[in-house]
Amino acid sequence: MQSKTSYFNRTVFINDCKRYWPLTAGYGLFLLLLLPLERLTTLNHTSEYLSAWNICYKTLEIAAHGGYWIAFFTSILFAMASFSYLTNPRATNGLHALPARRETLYFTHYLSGLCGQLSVQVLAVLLTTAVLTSRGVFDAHLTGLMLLAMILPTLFFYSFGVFCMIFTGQMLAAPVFYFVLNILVVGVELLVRTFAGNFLYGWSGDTTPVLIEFSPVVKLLSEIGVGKDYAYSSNGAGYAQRISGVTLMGIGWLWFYAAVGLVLAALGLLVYRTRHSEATGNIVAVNWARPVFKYGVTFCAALALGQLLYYLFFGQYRYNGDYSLAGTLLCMAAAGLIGYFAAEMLLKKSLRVFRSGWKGAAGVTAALVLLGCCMTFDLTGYEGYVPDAGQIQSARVDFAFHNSGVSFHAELSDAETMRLLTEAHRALALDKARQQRVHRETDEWPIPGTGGGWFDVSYTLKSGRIVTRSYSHITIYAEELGDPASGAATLTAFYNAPIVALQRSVGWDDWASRVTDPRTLTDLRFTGGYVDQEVRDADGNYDHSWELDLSPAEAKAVFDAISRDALAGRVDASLFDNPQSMAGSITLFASYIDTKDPSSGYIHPDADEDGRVTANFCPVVTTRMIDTITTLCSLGIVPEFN
Amino acid sequence: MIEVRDLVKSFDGFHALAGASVTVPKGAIYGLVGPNGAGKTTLLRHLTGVYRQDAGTVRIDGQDVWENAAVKMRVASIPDDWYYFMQSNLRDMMAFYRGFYPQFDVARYERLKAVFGLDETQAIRRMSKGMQKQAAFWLAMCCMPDCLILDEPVDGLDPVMRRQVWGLIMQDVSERGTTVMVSSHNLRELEDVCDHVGIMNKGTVLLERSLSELQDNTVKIQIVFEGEAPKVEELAVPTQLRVLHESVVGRVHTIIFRGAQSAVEARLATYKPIFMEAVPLTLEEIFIYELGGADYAVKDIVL
Repeated sequence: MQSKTSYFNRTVFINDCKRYWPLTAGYGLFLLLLLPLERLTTLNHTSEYLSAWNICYKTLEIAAHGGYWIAFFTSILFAMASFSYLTNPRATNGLHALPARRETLYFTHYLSGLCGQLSVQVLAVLLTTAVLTSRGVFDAHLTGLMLLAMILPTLFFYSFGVFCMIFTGQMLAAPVFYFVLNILVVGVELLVRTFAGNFLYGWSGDTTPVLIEFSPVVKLLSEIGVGKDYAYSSNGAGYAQRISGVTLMGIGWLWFYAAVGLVLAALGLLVYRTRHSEATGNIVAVNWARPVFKYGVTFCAALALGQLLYYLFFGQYRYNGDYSLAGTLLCMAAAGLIGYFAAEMLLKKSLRVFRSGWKGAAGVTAALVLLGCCMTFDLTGYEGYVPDAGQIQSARVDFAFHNSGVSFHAELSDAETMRLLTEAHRALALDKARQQRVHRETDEWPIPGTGGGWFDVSYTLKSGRIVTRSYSHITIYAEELGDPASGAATLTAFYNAPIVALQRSVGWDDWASRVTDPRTLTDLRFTGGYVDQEVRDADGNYDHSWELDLSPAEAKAVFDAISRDALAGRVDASLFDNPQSMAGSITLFASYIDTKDPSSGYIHPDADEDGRVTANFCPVVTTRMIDTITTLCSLGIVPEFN
Repeated sequence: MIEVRDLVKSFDGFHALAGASVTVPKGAIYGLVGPNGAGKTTLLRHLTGVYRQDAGTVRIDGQDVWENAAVKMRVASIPDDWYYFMQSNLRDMMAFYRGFYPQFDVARYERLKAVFGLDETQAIRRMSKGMQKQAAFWLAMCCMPDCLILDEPVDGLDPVMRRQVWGLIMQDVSERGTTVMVSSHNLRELEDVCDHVGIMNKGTVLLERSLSELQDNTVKIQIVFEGEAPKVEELAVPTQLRVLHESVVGRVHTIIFRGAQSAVEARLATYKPIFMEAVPLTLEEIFIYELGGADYAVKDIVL
């Protein structure tokens, strides 16, 4: 008859506590210095100058950030201590021979390590609360937040540390696994992105990770923070704001990762039950994880070391899509093999792995060469892919040409503009060979007399998919404007599309949303503006200057006139020359409510308490903008053109 | 009763146990012998629940050992590399063992102080190898096990302490019916204490019998033939006897047979030898000659 399952053994628990008390004591001392003692000394000197909420804010900030970092660094130490017996064959055999089931040993050791940390954290928070209370600041909510800020990341990081310990039979491998796995996904994503950038013409080069949730330490770092709640009150002359509370930001993510931690703890048990005692001493102690480790190291080495080697030997002066195929494959294969045999040596605990591992090495080399070839010959169709205009929901376009000073960025969505945009994009993609050759063979870039610049586009398709391309060095030629399929002609056609012209003229240059179509702004209210001009004589010397203020109605009239000119196609411009502008400037003031993403709680940083954003813009007025000039004249403003 | 059937265990493709089977009757002292690397320790680690078998069964009193805390509470073991906590002394380890073995006998622990004479407050890591072995025995005996698994148990003990320890074990066997399984290379010592023996080689148990049965079934004969000695193969064939070893000094042939002594003597009498005498065999000789048949003979090497 099997014994009934017990998940706790008091003897093991007490034994662990006795054996690892120096670790707990050191941790406790550090935490006490960080929180209650720091608060005590600080408040002794500054409490009379600080409001209660400011004290709470600072205290929670220390608990949140300090708790997070301490949890990250110390959890692995507690995990290593609690499960150290799994790295010593004698200890493993000794404990496994005892009359206790694996789950009993696992959970008891797990709890002993966790309790060591949590008990100290609770003590530190209670002492901190006592310190604050002694200064007249008591807030049970703050105490709760401090506890959550420390306990939740500890639950995750400790469970993750234990999970790493279960997988290895080498003490020193555990922290390596722990730290690497905490950032592995983001790191690999970055490597894959830079790797793709070597091969793919049009690769966006965007290194912003999208799989950040799989790298908890990075994700939590970006989410955790302390916020202040404000209350507003009228004081006759205006509004006064005061802090009405503190909040722990990112607490949802803390709960999420704590739950993940518990799942990892349960998974750790499952792995522990399948782990063989004789695996103690192995770098990877779980059989099924050994090939994962081997080929994972190989892949990462090929990506990281391979790229480094390629950069050192071949690629320092190359850019995306322009590369040495042979060089890349050689470096990747060499680095991959280094990684493969290094992993094999670690797994087999022997340096004699070359003969036995040649088959795997050959397979790895073949796979890497195949991967490189797939990328080179664009077997995935990445480089040539341009979505159909009908598939596109919206697009963000950014481009600039250095010689002419043209710089444009906008969010666009109308169908005709999308058609013109995709035609221009397609023309650039098809021109890959010439673009790379020109850039490779030209000493001076951009070539004088041509349009040299960059072009980025990011489509949001109706399916929700996002397609991003970036061409960092493109050259267009004025003499090809007559060829409707050329890059110069298609880009110019796009640049002069009515909506694009509108955005160029009166687009709202907002830091958050780039250039926004003014027609999409909610409750756009003009508050005024002015026109000024410095007039010069025939010799170009200063003659006189004037300035005229615009009322809100006049400002709106000017704005409407510019919009009409743009939509009527009278704001055409060249990518090769500067537009002919009025030798003066117009400045219009307006305010609007930014409702870019109200569901996310987004608030424009410059918004006032009513949510209104005040901005100004300076449209370029050219001689062909008849409607605008007529409007200005009707307002008594007669611009003098050079 | 300990019962191991067709036990298979591999380490990275190496078959440490290849279908080993062992049966230890209740109250027996079973000596497990075999050359280095035969799989003795691996087998014992299965009996203590350290290793999980790839195939086969490991049972004590009909219950599987693996992950069976109830069974393991009745088993105490002294492995070759006994584990103690780095900072601990004997009293710490006693407290630790008490937490796992409900039947731990503190009174016996106190009584055994006089036998072992160790300083309970001294850190175990500071003790000599022999003293650590004594400490392991002290604690294991106090666990009041029904089954005692010993791997090279007296290695490192002085002769007096060896005798003392074996005396304690024999006492437990006779008084409490403890079943003991012991692995050792000290065959002379095993011969004195074991009543059952199993010989292992290359992951299997070649044979297991009671010691008396084993000695009865293996005969060492010194014989002088009248004329030319018959070939060894001829001696064994008709009566299903098996010749394990033969050596000749002058005209005296020393032949070791597997078979009953009476059958061997009857067979050899047909050759009308001038002289024939059965000589008692030691366990060591049985071990050597049995393994000689299993391709593990002592080789004459000229250096």
